[in-house]
Amino acid sequence: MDNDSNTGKSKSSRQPGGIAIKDPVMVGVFFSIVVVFLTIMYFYIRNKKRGRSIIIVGPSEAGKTAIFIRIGFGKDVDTVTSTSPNITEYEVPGDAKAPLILKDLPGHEKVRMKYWDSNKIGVRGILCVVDAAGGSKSIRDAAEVLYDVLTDSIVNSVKPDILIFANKQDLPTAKGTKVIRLQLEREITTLRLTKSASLESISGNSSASSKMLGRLDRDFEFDQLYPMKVEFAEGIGNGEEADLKVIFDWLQKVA
Amino acid sequence: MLDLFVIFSQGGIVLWCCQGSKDIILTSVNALIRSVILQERTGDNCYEHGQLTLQYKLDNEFELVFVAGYQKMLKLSYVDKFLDDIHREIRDRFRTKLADKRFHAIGLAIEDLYAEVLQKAEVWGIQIANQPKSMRTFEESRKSKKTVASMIERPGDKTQDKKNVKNKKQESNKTISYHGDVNENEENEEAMDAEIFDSNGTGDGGYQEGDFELPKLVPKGIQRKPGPGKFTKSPKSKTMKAEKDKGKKPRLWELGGSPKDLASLDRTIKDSDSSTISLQEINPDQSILGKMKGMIKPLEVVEDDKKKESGVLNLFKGLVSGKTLTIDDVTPSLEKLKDHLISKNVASEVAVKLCESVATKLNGKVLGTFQTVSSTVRSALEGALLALLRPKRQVDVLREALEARRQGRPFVITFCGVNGVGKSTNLAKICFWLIENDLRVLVAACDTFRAGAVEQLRTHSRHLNALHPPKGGKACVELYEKGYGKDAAGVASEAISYAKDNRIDVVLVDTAGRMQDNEPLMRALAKLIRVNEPDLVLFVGEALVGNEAVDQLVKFNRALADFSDQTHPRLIDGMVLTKFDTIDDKVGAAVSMAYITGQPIVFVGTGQTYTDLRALDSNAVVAALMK
Repeated sequence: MDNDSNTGKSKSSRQPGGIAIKDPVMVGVFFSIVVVFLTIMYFYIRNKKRGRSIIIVGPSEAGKTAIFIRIGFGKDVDTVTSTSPNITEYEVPGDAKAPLILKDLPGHEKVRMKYWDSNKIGVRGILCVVDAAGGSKSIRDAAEVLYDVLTDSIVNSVKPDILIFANKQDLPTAKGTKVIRLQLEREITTLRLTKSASLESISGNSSASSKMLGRLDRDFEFDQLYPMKVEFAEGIGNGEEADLKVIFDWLQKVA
Repeated sequence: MLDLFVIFSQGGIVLWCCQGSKDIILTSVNALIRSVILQERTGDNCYEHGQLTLQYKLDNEFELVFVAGYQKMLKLSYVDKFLDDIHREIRDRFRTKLADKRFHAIGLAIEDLYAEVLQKAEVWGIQIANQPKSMRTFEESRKSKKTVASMIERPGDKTQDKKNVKNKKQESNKTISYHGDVNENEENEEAMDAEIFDSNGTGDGGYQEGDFELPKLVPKGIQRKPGPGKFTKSPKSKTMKAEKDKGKKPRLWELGGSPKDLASLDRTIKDSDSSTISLQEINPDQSILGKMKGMIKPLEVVEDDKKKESGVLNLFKGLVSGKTLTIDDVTPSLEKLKDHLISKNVASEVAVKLCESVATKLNGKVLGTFQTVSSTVRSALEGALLALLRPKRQVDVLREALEARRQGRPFVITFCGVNGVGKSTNLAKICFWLIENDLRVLVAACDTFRAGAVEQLRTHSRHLNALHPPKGGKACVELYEKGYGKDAAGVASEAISYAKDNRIDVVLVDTAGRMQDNEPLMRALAKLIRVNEPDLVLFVGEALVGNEAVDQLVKFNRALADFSDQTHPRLIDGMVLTKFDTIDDKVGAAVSMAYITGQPIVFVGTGQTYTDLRALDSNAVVAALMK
């Protein structure tokens, strides 16, 4: 009898401490499943969640880098065309929350999409800077940028706050926010038409742009993007008369 | 005397700028950035803008750019040394501060340092200039590079050699036209090249530097007097061209081909009333209706699983291993990648320049812990190729056509290119796309030379009208033709005014194919473009072309610039890449063409039916290239 119980004990893999673990392979499988699950959850949440970054986009020569320096450092510097993004942290005054991450992305068409794709994760708010004194060409460029931003899949799932800033109000030809808003809406209505791809497209790129903005039966209006909040503001990016109070207020709201 | 010196970060913040009118300085710097850095032409560190020459130096460790500018005619020799010195000084003094990117906003205060280094460099320049020219050492001379055997002269052998080469030449002339044997051609070309190299007297290859100067492609606004029918050609290309022309059978009309034969050759009089040709004779394929509505589908290039960096390692990328890249480190990987690109049909000069540009951008860069040199080089090259293929301005034809309609004028697109690339076929495809999107099109048959060109376009327009029946009494596609032998520019301008009167939205102008060396034809093309001022000048090139693409585009652009007497001549605005279905993944022609002109590839033709029209998908093309 003793022999039987002894052999019985040795056969079952009993660990010291009394935990009955059947098989080391099972442990390994269990752990790997947990790790895979956690990684998937991590990426899923990362893409869905609102992070702390505020992204500054817009066409080239709109004044993004100048505004970035103003907000982040409170200074005035000369700027040239950016070829890579500027990133800094911004402490919202009077707020105990974690600082916001300001990202100024280059607006030049050659590099715009590359940096947008790599920086859009964890977006909380988007500041789109438009040159209000640039005429219809700059409105068209701005509308293209906005269209790409608004049809982006991550933007549609996270739904960040958007502020469209009409810059360069110190110039005589600058237009006000109402006019800019109307022109942008008209432009995006046209873009919607020309960029809508047919349904049989295969490549991943076109499926993103096939999402139609707003309501199809009417002309596009920014109100149709509800629940995504789009606001308009105007001001002066840099120089002696720099007036960015609206942006600071918006940042405080978004934080 | 330096006119300007600027230090700025790659994020666009100016760290220091010497005294001077800021507007002019920043305009020149912006032009430099747009033309050089963003166009991936950072290989040679010189750039000319207006009256200034700008020399620049990239610091990839701290992501700074140093730019020094001086009057173009001065040709200062010490600027290189000055840039190196000041780069080193600033790096040494501000190393800790520069590592913190936030410092960029604060800027540097280096007036004294600048003055000091500049003076040292100037003094050095004067010293060098005053030095007597030292004799070359034996190693540097040409003699040491020749082999001993080539220098031994034996009178008998020399004449024998010349005879052999001459025979080969004659042979080649005869054989090419009849056999077109590829191997033989290559051999003969090489033999002829060898002879030409020796006759030049330079032992370092017959390709002259002046033939391929990229900066000159930018329209300068300086009047270039066209020489009497002269293009500077390297002897190599001249002989190859001569061979080619001799190889092609000359066009021989049995009747002699003089103008009085025009009557018998002109087919336009017969069956002119197209309405009587019953639609029963045309059986269009109705299934293609509706397939081209909206934006053109992007290209599909077969690609395997994309290599993506795993997300886990991305988290560790921030850790810096401290290894700094130098030119020697990256050269072997770059060489391999360059050969790979050339094997994918990228023109060799373009591949070389691209690799040089990537090397300049990587010099001094600090590697992350989990990054290898080859992977860094590969991703840098991929980034460069992607940036190259992305257009610097979006050409949205539909959008611009609607804009032109709003302004009450027709949107004019002109197609130009060499013979046989597919201009008329792709014109028909683009016409189909436009009428699918509810625009009315007028096709202007300005190819008044090639037999059957007008008939071809008439057949296309009939087919397209059968597919899209007339709306409200007006046909979707109309053809404007004036037969053969007329002046193309005149036909085009008449077509445009006809379109304007009849409120037609888009005018597609088809021109005759012409070789880039044919001066009278290039003049005629430049005249057509100058007189009619089309909204879009599209160069049609086939994807099969290799190094020829470089030559074609350079000469076309040059001809358009030279033969138009405007300060801002119209150059090629975009390209159509045709016959894309004939190449599997050797998609390099797209890169060569985009690099030469810097203009976007607007359409890609992938077959001979109306629906075979695609838009360029840069990601897919780069993936196919780097595979």
